Amino acid sequence: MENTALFSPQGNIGPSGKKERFWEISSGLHKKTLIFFALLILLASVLSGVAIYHHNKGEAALNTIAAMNEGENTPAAQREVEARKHVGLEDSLTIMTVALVSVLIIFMFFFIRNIIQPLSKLQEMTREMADGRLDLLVQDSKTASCSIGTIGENVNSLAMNLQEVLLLVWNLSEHNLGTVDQTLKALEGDGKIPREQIRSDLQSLKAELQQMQNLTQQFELFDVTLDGKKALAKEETTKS
Amino acid sequence: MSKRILVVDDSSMMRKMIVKILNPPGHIVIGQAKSGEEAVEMYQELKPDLVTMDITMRGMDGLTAAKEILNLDANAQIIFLSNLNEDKYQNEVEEMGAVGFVNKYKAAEILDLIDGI
Repeated sequence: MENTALFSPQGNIGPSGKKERFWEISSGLHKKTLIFFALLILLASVLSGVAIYHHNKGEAALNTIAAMNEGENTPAAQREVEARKHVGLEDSLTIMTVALVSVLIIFMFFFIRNIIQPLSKLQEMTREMADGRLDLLVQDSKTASCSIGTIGENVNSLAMNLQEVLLLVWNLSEHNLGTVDQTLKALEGDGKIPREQIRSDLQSLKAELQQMQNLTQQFELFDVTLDGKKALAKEETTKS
Repeated sequence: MSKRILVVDDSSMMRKMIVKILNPPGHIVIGQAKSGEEAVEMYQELKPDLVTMDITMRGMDGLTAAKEILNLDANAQIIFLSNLNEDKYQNEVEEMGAVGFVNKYKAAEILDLIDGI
């Protein structure tokens, strides 16, 4: 089905990070839809089969009539046979067209409800999230269609990761701002702070900053590598 | 002493970070749960020595999950690891019977807590 093909790379970036994810999605995703479409196609082929059968039968009957009338092969009789043939063909064409169009309409309905609608919802949500609304979660997308639901889930994970990192940065800054404020106040006062205290404050600051760096190193960054203590453009590191 | 640990956090980045902190001193992360429900389920299945628990999670939150785990096993060792304010939750989690509360920005402190058990 086209949406599996469209989103198959998603299978490799699932939360579990396993390749088998793709099979989970594609097998779970379309079982119902596949059965439904198989039935529709069967129905359409049966209908067109019946139509073609009728048409052929009609034509055969007309041919026998034509053969029987061979004796009096007047132009009028021939014209009548041709006209009746024509009517038979038109009938079966109409039936086939109706069958095809109804299958198409049902297909379109399904396509819009299961793919277009959740996609446009997802589009809306991701746009707002990109603008910083991390409180929005992509919801109810699971029921709409599994692969789109998985994309929604992954967008949620992305937002959650970002939120965790932001909160961590905020907490860390808050804690260290406190320490820095204290030191500044003491310096502005009598200017005497125990050396030991400065040392321990700076050490805790260092530990926390290192942790921030560790956290950052868990991400694969676009066009930048964190090489030892420097952030370098990827090209430069490959050159050297 | 090496412990078998279950890490509960809804953010994959945070789980990675916690595993990175726990592994060097020789602790073994035997499972990672993404939600409170999963945590309760995996606790029964894996019987870890220790659980690190996030608080804000979609679905069942960490406080509820910890209560359920403590109901199942009164000896469960749970350390909360969250971005929420320590002062506000420290008492609550200790009353509940958890080992303690560590803010994520100084997550390495869980190692001291674990050694203290």
